[in-house]
Amino acid sequence: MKGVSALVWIGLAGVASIAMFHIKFEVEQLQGALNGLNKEILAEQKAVHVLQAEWSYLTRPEHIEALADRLLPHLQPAAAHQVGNIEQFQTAIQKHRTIPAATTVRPASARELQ
Amino acid sequence: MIANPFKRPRKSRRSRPTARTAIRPCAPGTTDERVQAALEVSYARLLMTGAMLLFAFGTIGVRLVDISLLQAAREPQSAHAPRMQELRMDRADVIDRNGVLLATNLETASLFANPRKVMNPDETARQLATALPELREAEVARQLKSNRSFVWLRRNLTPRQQWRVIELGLPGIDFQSAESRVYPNGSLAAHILGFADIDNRGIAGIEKTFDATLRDSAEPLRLTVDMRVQHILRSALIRAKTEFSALGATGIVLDARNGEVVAMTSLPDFDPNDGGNAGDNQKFNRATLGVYELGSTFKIFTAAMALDYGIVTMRDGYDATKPIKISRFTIRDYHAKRRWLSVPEIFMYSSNIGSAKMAEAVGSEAQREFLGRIGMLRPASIELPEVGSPIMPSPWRPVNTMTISYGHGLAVSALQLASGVAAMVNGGVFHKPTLIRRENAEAPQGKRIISAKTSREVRRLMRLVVENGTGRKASAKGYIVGGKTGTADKPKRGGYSRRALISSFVGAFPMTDPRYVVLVKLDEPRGNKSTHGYATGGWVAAPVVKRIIERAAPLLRVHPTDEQSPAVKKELYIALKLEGRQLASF
Repeated sequence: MKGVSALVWIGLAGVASIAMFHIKFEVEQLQGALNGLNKEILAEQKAVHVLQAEWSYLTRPEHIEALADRLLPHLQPAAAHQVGNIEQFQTAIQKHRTIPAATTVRPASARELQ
Repeated sequence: MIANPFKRPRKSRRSRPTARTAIRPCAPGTTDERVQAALEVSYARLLMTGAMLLFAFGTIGVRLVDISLLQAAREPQSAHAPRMQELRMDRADVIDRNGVLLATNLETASLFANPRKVMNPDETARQLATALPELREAEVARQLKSNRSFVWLRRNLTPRQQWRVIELGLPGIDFQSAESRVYPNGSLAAHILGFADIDNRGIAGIEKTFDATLRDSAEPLRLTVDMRVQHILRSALIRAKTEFSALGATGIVLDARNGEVVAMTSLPDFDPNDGGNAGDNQKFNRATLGVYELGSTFKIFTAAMALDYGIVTMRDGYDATKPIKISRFTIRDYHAKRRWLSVPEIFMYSSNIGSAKMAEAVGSEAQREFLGRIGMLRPASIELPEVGSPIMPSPWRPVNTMTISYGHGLAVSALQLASGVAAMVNGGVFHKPTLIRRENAEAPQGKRIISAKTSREVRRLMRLVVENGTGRKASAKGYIVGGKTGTADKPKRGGYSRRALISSFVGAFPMTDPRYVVLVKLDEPRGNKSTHGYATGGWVAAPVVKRIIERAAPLLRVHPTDEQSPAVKKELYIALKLEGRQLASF
């Protein structure tokens, strides 16, 4: 009887230690994977950082202006008279409301409101 | 069955004599006893060996458990195990108000050699020179033949250059990665940013002022500058500088409500990526370090001061018939009218005589105190190390009071003038100019200088100059520009030079409720055909301000207004022709 219980305990201790080592090694492996990922993240961040600098270099106003002059010859800086506000827009709409009502297409929701 | 070696042999067991024992005739005792003794010895030896092995394995086992389980926390990690964290460079970034990157640190590789490991110096030098054409082959060969173990060949390679060298696969040649400061926008904001040296120490501009902060912080430093406006300002100034063959040009766009510098340029400028090789003239910041006698733009302060102290009203005026003779000076008018002038007329025609008389009426002490309050007598408080001290007269005589009233005899920086004018038009509150963007909560309170009523009158005066006076060329239609021209003779030994001018224009828009102050100053411009030979502020600087406002206002979210609308007319109404007085003066 004594021998049996001793065997059981020894067996349990063995299982426990195997489990412990197993978990331990798994943790180590995961730690390694995490380190790898962190390294990758850092590398990506560095790449993003370089790209940001490059973006800032490529979008410097001087460069954009030169490109616009060459490729968009009809684009000019906005003049003051080209800027309006929403009230002006509404009066303009009202002025142009000469189209016959029958031909205007209205959404169903607009009809309900009237 | 394997016999247990540890089992004690029983005495009763009968040992058989072996052949070996038989041929040992000289062995002591009986055969049985001798066998017994031999077994005893071997048993003891076995036990000893077993115990030692058990001890050794036991020790190893204990140590194994100790290392792998108990000491796990202290187990040395790989030296380069990265932590989960943000990328951190040696020096924080600098960004503009919209987050555009202005200065950043990039990792670059620097090429070095260990001459002792280089096998064939001449061949190595030849190959390096083909990969990096800017290297001189003979010089490299000489370095590689030296007896040292470390020589720098070239610092800060681009990734492409580095790759070309790696491809050569030369022994004794290696890279050291280091960070270097990069300014992607080049010269665009050179004088604001300044630059950092090869060891990443800020030695000019913002880089110097915030050197410690940039080293310690991971957060980018946000400036008040808007790179789009900065570009508009700079390109307009470059154009004007070339057009009028000026020695230098300065421009400032200032937020009138809080003193934030939206754009600031000083020409000629330099590329901060190569700041070390810039000339002194290029590095000289004409906006903050250079102090100049700025001329008639100072009449804004004279008028504001006289109006605020109640010395004059908009309906008063002075006789500007004859030049004033005081000590060895004669104060005369550039656009002389030779009659009595009302305060608005003095301002509009930029009368030196009228302004001098106005300042005389205010008095030297009051003038000095007033100019002191708008920061004209101290170096401008801006976050740059390149700040010039104003040059003021000592003692401050009545003649100085008179000349300072129209901007001579007191030299200040362009930034001081711009921030002073901002206080005159924004309702009368002075804000220290700043380059650092702050959240609304920490915006510093301004200091009231003049009443809101006086500020309104100054706006009307400044609008008048652009509508009918010397500043008509600054009128950017729709943005209700107001301002004041200034043309000052440059001081030379023993007096003033008539040929060398400082021509400037300081304006604000929209004059109904000014949002931004724009200053343009040209150093020694030369008039050309388009200006009929004139090089005055109204001819050379005012059109630049117009160009800047027309392009920058939409970006700055200033809505164009109908300048002829009754509301605008009423707000900026000014009674120019005064009944009775005008006639009486003739």
